[in-house]
Amino acid sequence: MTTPRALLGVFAALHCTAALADDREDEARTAACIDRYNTDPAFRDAQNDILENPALTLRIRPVGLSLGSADGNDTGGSGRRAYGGGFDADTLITLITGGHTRTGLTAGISGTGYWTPDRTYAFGGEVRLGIGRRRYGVPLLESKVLRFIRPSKCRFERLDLGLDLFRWRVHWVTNTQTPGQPTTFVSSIATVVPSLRFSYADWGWRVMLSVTDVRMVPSVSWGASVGLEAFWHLLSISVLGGGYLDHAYVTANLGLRFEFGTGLSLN
Amino acid sequence: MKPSVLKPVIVSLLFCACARPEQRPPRQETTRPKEIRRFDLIPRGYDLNGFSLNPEWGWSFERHKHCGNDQSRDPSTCSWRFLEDESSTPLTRCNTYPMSVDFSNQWSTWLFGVTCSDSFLIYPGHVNWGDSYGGAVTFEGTLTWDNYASDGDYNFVLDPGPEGEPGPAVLIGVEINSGDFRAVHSKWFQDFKDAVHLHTADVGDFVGARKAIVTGLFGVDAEHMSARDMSVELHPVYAMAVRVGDSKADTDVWAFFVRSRGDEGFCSHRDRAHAVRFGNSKYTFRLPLSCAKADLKWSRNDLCVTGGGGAELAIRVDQKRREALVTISLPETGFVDGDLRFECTGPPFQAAAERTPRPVPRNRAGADRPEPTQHKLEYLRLLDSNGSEMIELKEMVNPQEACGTVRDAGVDFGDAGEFSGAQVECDGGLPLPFVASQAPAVGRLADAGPQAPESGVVERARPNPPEKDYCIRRRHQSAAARAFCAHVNSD
Repeated sequence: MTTPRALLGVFAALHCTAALADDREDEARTAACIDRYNTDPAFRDAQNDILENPALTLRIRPVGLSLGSADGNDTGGSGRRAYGGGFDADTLITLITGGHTRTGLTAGISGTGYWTPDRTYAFGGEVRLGIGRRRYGVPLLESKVLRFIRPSKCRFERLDLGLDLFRWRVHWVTNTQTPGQPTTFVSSIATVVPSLRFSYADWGWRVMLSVTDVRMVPSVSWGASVGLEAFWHLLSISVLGGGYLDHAYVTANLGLRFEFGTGLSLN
Repeated sequence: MKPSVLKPVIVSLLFCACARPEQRPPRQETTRPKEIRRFDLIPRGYDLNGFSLNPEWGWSFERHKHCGNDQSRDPSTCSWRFLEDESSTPLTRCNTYPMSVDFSNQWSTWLFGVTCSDSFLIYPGHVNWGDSYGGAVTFEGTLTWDNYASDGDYNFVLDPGPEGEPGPAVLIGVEINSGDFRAVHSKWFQDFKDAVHLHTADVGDFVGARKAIVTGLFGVDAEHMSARDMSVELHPVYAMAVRVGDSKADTDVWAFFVRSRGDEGFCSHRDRAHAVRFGNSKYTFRLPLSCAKADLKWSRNDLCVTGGGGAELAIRVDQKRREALVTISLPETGFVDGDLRFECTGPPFQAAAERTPRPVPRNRAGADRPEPTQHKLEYLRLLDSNGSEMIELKEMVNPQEACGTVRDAGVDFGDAGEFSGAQVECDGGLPLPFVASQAPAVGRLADAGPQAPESGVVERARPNPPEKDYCIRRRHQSAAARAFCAHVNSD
């Protein structure tokens, strides 16, 4: 699909969303669905996958392919393929509870390792700190596109709105081609990184955008990235694309996604 | 446009053609269910327009009548009914007639979940006793000021008192969009607006505690409800009359307005107006008159209609009952307002003692609270060294809009008719939620006989509060306006 057509598709979905806002019958069904959750224990139990407030979201992504340079760092170089994997662990520590919302601090760590055959290998990790808000409820104004993909008369949703205030990523890249195999330390910091995750009973998706990605070592460069993730049951597929002023990259991962425990709370 | 681009556009239009606004057919109950549920509205009577008057909730009715049915007041332990074809529920029903809803359609709610998302029952907006009740109910009581909200609504509190409240000690919020009030003509309402926006008086003192009659869409803003407090409101208000004169004086003055559409403000569809069609396209107030001399007579009216079309007004003064029926025939999109002045002369008259208003806190939360929006407005006066910006703001608060003529359809002196309360007993079944209008023909107004009110929704852009339009016009014109507008728009 060409870019203009893709954009038009997005606008179409958004426009339908707005038009549905005027559908009073649809709105009444949304209210009835909420009442069903409030009053029907069996229905409520069936939504527990969404409505649980996981203490820990763990994503293990053993299969990864990176084009450009792995995870935005200098393992591969332009046009080279790198292979690897990693994990991500995230939590929300609730400070404020209101209705069916949780607001608090988010924290997360990641670890990655990549290998570019006959060239480099790299390993490293990331620390994330921020604020987040989690809401449970019936999706409002859901688009016809969403209904077409997954028909439902009463669907529940968990919405995670995150704002990472600080992301610090470090990597050690070892060049296997150079005698003595020198290791380069790579470090970057991103601030104000918003993300949105919509979770339904057995599937969901997430989008993340960073426009303040600053690589500081070994050279200073400004960068930006956008991440997309879709998950179905335990299966997770994610794509991260972006670039610095001196190069671009895209990384795709296939993995498993788990949610553990009920929420951590300080309130 | 290229064919490759046309295709998705056509597809998107086809998608959206299926999602045009729907109007529910007006609903009027003809049969009376036997069981009264805890959040059914039990009218204590019907006003002359056919709306439920001073209704109380089923649980309150059951308690004071000792009926022995559902007396719980907890909205979270029963199942709310929203659809005609609602499926069965394992819990007891909260209500018999379907509730109407108006949920937030703002991106901050549906995309980010940061607004209107804190209801303990998850409802992201307003839940109303709406279409099933003819679109409105009427409460009488004592009106006090609450605050000027950040969404541009004037917020009042109505205390119906023990004989008119929905439940014991339940106060009712009365919310009116200031944007709808821009062209108001009544002197009292103009003075009220000046007090709010231009700080000519303390608004709480100005409003005081006044007898009022308010007809509006009765509901809850679910964001503010709890298991203990439903936080009910009349929002939008379609008709309101406020006694603004001194009852000991020789005049009895009522400020009023009547309209047929309005919105629910924040946490609702910002582009949706709720609309009610009064029976016979007329609205009738029954105003109690209480001046201290025996002979009542109508003095004069200061009236205005805006919003298109002409209006008519007829009055019947009942010397014996000391009441006036004021019937306003208004155009579909019109807004009629004004001050009604009645004079009394002759020997002193000892009116029946009125109930002393209960002390009502300045807001429903039970305590005085600062008025952040008004404090922001005061900033302009501090910044405006020569007063020119305050003049600009005043033009926005009270625009010089052409005022249409409200035709005088006559005044007569006669019987206003007896108020008939609803006699509801435990085994009598659920009363009708509304009835056909019961107002007698007054003056020379055309009368097609009793008709029931109808309700629905229409698309309408929400009118801006005065400050917003002021900022659109002035924010680049002066340093004071720029600083003020940045301040007003900050949280």
